[in-house]
Amino acid sequence: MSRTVSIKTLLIFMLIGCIVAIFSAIGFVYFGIYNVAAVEQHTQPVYDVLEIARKRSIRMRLEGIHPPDLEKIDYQVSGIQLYEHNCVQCHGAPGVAPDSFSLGMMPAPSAAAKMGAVRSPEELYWVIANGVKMSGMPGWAFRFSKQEHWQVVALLKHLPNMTSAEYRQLREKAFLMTEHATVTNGQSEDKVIIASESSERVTRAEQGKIALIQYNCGTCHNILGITASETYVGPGLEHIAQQSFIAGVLPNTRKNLIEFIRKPEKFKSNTLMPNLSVDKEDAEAMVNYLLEH
Amino acid sequence: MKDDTLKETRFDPIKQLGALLSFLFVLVFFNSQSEKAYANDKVSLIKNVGCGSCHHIPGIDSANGRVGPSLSNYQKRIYIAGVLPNTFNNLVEWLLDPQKITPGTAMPDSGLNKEQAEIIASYLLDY
Repeated sequence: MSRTVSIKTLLIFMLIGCIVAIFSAIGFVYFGIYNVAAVEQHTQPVYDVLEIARKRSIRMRLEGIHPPDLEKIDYQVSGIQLYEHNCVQCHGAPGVAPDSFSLGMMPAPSAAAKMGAVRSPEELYWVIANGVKMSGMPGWAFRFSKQEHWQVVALLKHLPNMTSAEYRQLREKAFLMTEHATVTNGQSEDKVIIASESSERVTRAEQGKIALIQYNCGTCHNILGITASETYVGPGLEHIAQQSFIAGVLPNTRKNLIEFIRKPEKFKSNTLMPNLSVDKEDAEAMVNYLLEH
Repeated sequence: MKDDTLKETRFDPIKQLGALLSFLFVLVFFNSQSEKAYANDKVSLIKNVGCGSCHHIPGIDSANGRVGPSLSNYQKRIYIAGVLPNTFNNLVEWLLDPQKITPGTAMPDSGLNKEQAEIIASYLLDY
């Protein structure tokens, strides 16, 4: 008799627990507890869950995608033209920064070299064709032909093996061949100052963090306190304060680091790090954060 | 009598298991020994060249320099020194003559021959 009672109470407690969980989930949504602002990072657990969900969702849907021989696909002319017209604005290229609007996106669009190195042709094809909900990635299935999809995929698989000079040459050649006069990929002229425009109450460290997030530094560098997936495009910046040199060419001083962030190509002409048109104030804020963490 | 002994050697599962286990043990033991010897060679070369005075290198105790970047997870890195795609051949080129690839780089020419550069490159990419 006493045993049945204890099972009953257990069931009642479980029922109450479920009801409380459901109501707190509804409350979490209804009272707007999660901040949807793009200028604020996801928390790492949320980011990890979203990333796993995205990866698993894509993997489950790859059936029936059969990549052609990518070596025989024209990525050198058609691929790069498609990429320059439709993709580089958000994903950048070796030595080429994304356009400024895309730096405000959350999650930050992945660096092109990382996608090419880490993802399979099937995955790339699927993402280009279908896009990814709530990420800003549009689906191109109704805009690109099947052939064009594979041309972009082939280019992406080649990007990690290109230096910035090689990419530049390939781009110039591709556009010369069809006599496209201009390449629409220059940085916009209007300056954005992120650190100083953010609310006056934010602390110095927070300013730096905001600047690092807003220039998408985390798509290429692992940085403490910046939520992102692991990335190995550029070196990790976890120990930059103790490092003697910046990019192996400049003594690591505060001033040099600010200068290098603003104009990497001035100090290292062959560097793959793009010039992101970082404002002076933002670069200072970034350096404060990097040297203090 | 003769038949019996034959049967015994053929069907003693414990003996056979014992033989198999000792064979596997010998295999694993010598294999790990030779692996270790090889790795030690690479390790002592890297120690002698002095890579660790500037770089943190996984698997090498004394290598904890902070002059250059850490070389952990090297096989995952997409680029070498921010300028070259991270392939075995490029890494060998870079180790042999860093100044040729990035004039003014703080990374010195360590006077390696090609074979040594290849050993170091394979250590970093295989680790």
